[in-house]
Amino acid sequence: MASTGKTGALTARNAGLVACHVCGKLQPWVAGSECSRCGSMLHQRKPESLQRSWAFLVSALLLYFPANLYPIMTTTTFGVPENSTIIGGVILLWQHGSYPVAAVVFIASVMIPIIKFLVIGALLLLVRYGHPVKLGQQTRLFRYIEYIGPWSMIDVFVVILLVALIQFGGIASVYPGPAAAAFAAMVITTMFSALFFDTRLLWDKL
Amino acid sequence: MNAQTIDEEKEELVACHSCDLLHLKTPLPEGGKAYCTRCGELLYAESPRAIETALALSLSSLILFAAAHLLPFISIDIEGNATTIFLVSTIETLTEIDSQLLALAGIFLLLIAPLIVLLVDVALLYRLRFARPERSTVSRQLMLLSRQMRPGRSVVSRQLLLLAGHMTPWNMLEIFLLGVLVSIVKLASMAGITLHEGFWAFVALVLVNLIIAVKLDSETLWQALERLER
Repeated sequence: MASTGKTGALTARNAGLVACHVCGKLQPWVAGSECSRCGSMLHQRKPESLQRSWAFLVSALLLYFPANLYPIMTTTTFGVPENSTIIGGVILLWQHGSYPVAAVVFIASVMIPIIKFLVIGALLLLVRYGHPVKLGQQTRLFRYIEYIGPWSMIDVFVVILLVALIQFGGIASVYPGPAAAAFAAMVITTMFSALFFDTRLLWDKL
Repeated sequence: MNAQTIDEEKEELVACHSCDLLHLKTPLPEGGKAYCTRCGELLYAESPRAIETALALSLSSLILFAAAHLLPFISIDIEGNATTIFLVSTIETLTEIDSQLLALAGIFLLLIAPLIVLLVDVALLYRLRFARPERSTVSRQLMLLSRQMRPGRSVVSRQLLLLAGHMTPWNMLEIFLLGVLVSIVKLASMAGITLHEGFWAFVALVLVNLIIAVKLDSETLWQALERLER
């Protein structure tokens, strides 16, 4: 009745069952039916997972450039405006001797997005072209980057807070630059890319 | 095999949501956790009195949320020019200077998403903890009516829990807290910074939310809701 495939591992799909994507309830798989517990549409795998994940990943990649090239905020001191980019902010923190904070901002704003692009991109290619090796590591890698992704938002929150705090008209004031919204949009699109990715697609190749 | 026995058998099975492998459920000791044998993902956890603990914590969380928003948050002093802001001032300033996109992001990530998760938690946990089989006539009639439309389910609770599930990834309070700390370091060399009650309420709020996240998973809530409606 239930086929266990080449590896002898019994998955919900092989057993004719499906775990609801939304609430996790395990139930018999009937195409086109609703979850008996939460009422969401049942799918064996997230629908159009690869296409949606790619689409958001490419959008995020495109947003990465304005987010890093344009100023994230403008500081006006005695009427003289000064633009600063994300990297500029990190360098300034470093020069002031705030090494740990400089490192946190650098990791959150520069490293995490790049790592996320590389990992999601690689996993999407692996689903399509890869051989099923080290799947446990691939799955864990995805869980890690899914967790650390939103932390990139730190710099946007710093801008939001500095803008509210420093509004002294003539003496000094801070305004958000075009990169702030681009950066926020980039973090949100990468989060969508990860939300649509289904790690079970990796295991289906076994 | 009738439908009842199939249903009972399914209760003892669990599918890993990372790799779809089926496992037979085994009873766990208090505070125990079960992981997938193939990919290592958490399958389920046994947290005794999870509903009671989470209800107490989410009520505290709601009070702290109000305190963090209603009390002064932080003061800055640049060469004698001092100003004190509230958490909501951040959104106000962004709207005033026409940064609508950032204002929207701020409202959603710092106010709407966390508040929805918090309110749904409080409402559902209260209902799950204090629900009695005998109800007032009106609510009993309403429940019977909702059962006729969707047998065995409470429409409102179900929709609330679904909504909270969709909001959870967008709740970024702890990330904002790190942002506040980075801002303080950035300003420390050029301005005097004073932290107020609102800020400390916010710190406590983040800590309590972390404990709730550890104590309560959505599966516990769904199962409790299922038992209630059976």
